[in-house]
Amino acid sequence: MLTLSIDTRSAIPIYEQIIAQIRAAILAGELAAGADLPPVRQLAAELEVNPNTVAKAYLLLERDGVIHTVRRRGCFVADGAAAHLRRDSDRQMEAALDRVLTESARLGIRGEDLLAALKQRLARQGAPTKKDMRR
Amino acid sequence: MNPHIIFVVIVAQVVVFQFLATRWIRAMLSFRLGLSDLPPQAARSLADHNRRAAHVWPILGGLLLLAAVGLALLPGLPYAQRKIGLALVSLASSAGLVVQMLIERGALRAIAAQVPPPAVRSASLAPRRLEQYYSPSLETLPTLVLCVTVAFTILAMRRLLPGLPPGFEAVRDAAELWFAPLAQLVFVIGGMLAARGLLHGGALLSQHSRASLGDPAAALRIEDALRRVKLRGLLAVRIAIVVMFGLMQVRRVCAPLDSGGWLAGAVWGLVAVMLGLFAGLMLRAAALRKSSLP
Repeated sequence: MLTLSIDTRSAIPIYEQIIAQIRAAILAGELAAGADLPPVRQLAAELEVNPNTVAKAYLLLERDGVIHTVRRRGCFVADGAAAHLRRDSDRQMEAALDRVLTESARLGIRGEDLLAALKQRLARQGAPTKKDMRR
Repeated sequence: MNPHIIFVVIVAQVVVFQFLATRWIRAMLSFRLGLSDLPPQAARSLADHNRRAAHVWPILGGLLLLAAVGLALLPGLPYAQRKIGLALVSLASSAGLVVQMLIERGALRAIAAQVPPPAVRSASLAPRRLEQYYSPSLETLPTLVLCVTVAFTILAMRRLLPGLPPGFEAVRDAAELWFAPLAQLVFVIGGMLAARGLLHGGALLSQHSRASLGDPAAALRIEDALRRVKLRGLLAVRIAIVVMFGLMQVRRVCAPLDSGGWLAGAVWGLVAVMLGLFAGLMLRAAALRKSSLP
């Protein structure tokens, strides 16, 4: 079942939670290219949020080339959206790694210690879940 | 028509509408609330409402049932009066159902308004398509029955049907010959719109119910099962209704003066089948609701 959950207590705006989960679903292969997304009003009614919030999420996803809108037919996952998102994720990960490496060099942390710390952290935390994405 | 058949159908309608529908309506509307721990004020309101409903509706249903049995069994009552009386009981039963639905909806909405909305909310990203619930070709069945009835009516009016009874001449030019096709048209279009609304409309489970369940996937499974029951039920009832009107038309044309023949019996039989179907669907939906709440 392909579910979308939002947390209104979270500091992250609702439209960003929606965007993050749709991107995650596409990356995980749960939403294939050409798959249709629920209409704005339907999703807004189900989540009990303002339709403008869902519309904003869809608009931003469309601007990023993740989905495309066909008039009177709805929103669909764009062709090559998964590859595009994967490239985007890789870019973000590289930027984050650059920051970590710069910071560890500044603090004088050796490469093997950094790797061990990262492995330890991953083992403790596990893979990120949808709940993590909402936070 | 054998008055005992009318008796059985009307009593079945009263029983189904007043007793089973009471439970069903409450179950369906409670889907919109579905909280395990209500705030004290809301819990008190719900308890008061439940107490009133528990007394009022069975008493009203019982009175209607008594009236139906009385009218059916009262000795010396002419057939026409018995029929009119039972039809009135049936109408009162249906009107009672509508009033009950409005009262329940108002009360539960008022109670739900006292409860803060849940912080974590969920929805389905999966598209809803008719083929997930049944074969879309089945949707054409009510339209086909309508087309057959219209063709039958036109052929009958032009006296192109073989073996038309002599009594048919009396009703040949009457506008009432078009009553059944018109009623079918209303049910075909209305049913299509209702099915579309069920498929593409809002959520069937409230966010309160989803929050009570905790697991969004479980909520979606229950909602999907509920949508399946409603869509399939709606299709079955639509087909039964248009077939019933089709049989009524055949009876009006082929046996206009015979009120006790097999065609009349078949019409009433279909009414009984519809009621049984309705009862079955109600029980299934109520069972789903029961499984959805802690």
